[in-house]
Amino acid sequence: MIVETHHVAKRFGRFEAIEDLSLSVPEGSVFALIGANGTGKTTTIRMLMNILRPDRGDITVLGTPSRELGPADFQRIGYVSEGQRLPGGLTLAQYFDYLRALYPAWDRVLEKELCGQFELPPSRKIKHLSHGMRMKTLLVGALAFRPKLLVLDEPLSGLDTLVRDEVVHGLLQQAADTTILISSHELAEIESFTTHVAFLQNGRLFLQEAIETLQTRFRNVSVTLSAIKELPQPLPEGWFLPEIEGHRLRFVTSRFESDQQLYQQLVQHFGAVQMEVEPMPLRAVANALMQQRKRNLQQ
Amino acid sequence: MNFRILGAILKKDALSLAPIVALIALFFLADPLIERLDLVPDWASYSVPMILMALVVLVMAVFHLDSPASLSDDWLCRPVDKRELISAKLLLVLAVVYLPRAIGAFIADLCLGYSVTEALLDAALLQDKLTLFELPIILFGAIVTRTFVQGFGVMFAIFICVFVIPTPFVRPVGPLRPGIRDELLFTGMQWLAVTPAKLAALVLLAIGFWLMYWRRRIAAARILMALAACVTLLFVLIPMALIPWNATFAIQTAFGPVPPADTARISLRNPRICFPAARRADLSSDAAFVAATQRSGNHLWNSEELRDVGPNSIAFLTHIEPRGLPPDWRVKLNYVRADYNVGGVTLYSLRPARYITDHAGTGALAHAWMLPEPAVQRLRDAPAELELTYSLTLLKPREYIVPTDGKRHAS
Repeated sequence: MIVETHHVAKRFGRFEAIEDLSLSVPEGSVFALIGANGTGKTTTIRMLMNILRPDRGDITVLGTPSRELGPADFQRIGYVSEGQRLPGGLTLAQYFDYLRALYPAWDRVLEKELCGQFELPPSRKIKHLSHGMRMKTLLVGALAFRPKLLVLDEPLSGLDTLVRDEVVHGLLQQAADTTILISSHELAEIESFTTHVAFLQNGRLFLQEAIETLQTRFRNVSVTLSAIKELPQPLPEGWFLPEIEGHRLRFVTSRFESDQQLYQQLVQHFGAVQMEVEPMPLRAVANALMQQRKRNLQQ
Repeated sequence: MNFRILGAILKKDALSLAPIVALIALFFLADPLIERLDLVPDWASYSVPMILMALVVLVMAVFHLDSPASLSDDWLCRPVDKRELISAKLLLVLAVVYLPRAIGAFIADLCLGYSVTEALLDAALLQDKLTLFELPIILFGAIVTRTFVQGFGVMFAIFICVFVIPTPFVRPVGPLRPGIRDELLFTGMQWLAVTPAKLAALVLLAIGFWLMYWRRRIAAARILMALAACVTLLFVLIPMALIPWNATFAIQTAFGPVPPADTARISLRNPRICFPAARRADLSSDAAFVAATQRSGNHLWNSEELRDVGPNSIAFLTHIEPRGLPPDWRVKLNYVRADYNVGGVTLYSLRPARYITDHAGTGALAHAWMLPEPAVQRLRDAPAELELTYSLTLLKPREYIVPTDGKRHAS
């Protein structure tokens, strides 16, 4: 594992920001940390990067405890954060000159290539760049030394669609050589290149999984019943967010294996049925999981 | 230490802050020129607050570029060694503060007619009076804050806490508290007052840097900064209030030059048989005290001091003259104390009200004293002796020839 956390907790005053977080990011993966605003994604990433210190638990990044991360480790870690402060008085060329001195493995050709691809004007001062341009600048600064681990904290937030596509394209080019840990709530954009996901809610991690298995086992199910019936109690395992209206039943299953297996399950509970099964995009899975968790907490 | 990275950080900071750095460097270049060549009348009274302001702006700007208190600054996840980062920032601050000052001093000295060697030596020496005092606290303020507004707020809060809040609680020093006080600052012994404070501030600052950069303990560093401000202030005040004169003077003597042999014949003489004395209640009608008040141009004691000592306290005047001074020699009073001894034991030590001591050194060493009422009661029936202790500096004349052409000259 390239990043591992064990039972990590972080508190700000009385507010428990992160609780018992155990995370494993496999090498070579594109790992998405997903959650609504204020769920602890940024706090988690800051603890991984040794910007914040956890109150409890252990974190290792590239095999080094996060508290001991030093310059040698940061030569292999690229980090981009939405609110990252850059030296605004420098031009882009001066900024990249500065970064070049810090990284022995800095690839000037890649830097030029990325700058060209992102259409970054080298003579413009950073303080005069738009938000999108700043994010692209950060991305160049995090990619040009070919990091082993790329940590991105909400890199797509506040970007327009065109810029998002450019940034995602830039990331995709690197995905083959680099492990990427990305936090985002722009699920539609990251779904195309994510290999693993972890869902955070209220500072707690409630699921982490390879996206392939997640997409295989989650289905949106719509059923037409032969007669008005009630929901079976207890609900079959893996069913959640059920809604029944007359002859119509909708629910999400997290244990989908095949259409046939699901049909048999439905027949067992409702008799003759007609069913429609839809694969779920990441956004729909995330929404369903979070709604279900909210309901569970309310109960 | 990787000097390539250090240089890159230094260059990055200098380029980022080019207008501020240039402006402040220009000010520090101009300051010694204006002061030494007397280009602006009464420049010293403007320059002190301006230097302070320039230091605050410079230090805040340089350290906030890569703030250790920040959670979002670019440097936090870059392969930057903290020692290199801090060294680069300190180098830039020192280069902007001291280098232009040295150049300014060198040019001014050349204009005043000093030789190149003398001018170089003068410029190279750290012409520092306050900077080493202020710099640690300003640096502390800069590293524990994230923005200029926060940093300036902290500096303003320290100013209020040190100079404004204590003001109503400051009382004039009573006659029975013969600590050294201001005399330490005006008798060539200022280093004794400021060195412990500067050292304490620098040590606490080093701990502050460690807490902020290596431990990221922002709250602890902020508490330490408040402590550093208090300790610096206390270390300035405590020696003045508590260190006994004899011990202090012994330290100064140990580090100072040996007095010339021909000073042995110089002595002090009391030209009167007894000192004029009066009860506090009779001061306004006593001829000697009325005359002394007129000579000093001010009241010898303010109303607050007189109220505190009691109506039956005893005031007296002393007048001592140096004898055997070689022609054109002068004496400068460093310190004077009156001790009441009974059987070899000092019961009371008094500090004088400033009176007509002539700091120009013409010889008059006249002081007004007040023995408070409780001391009078206690000494009434005791066989007490009054012992006056004077500490003086002898000023030996040196001959200079200066053209009287209305211009400033080096000597």
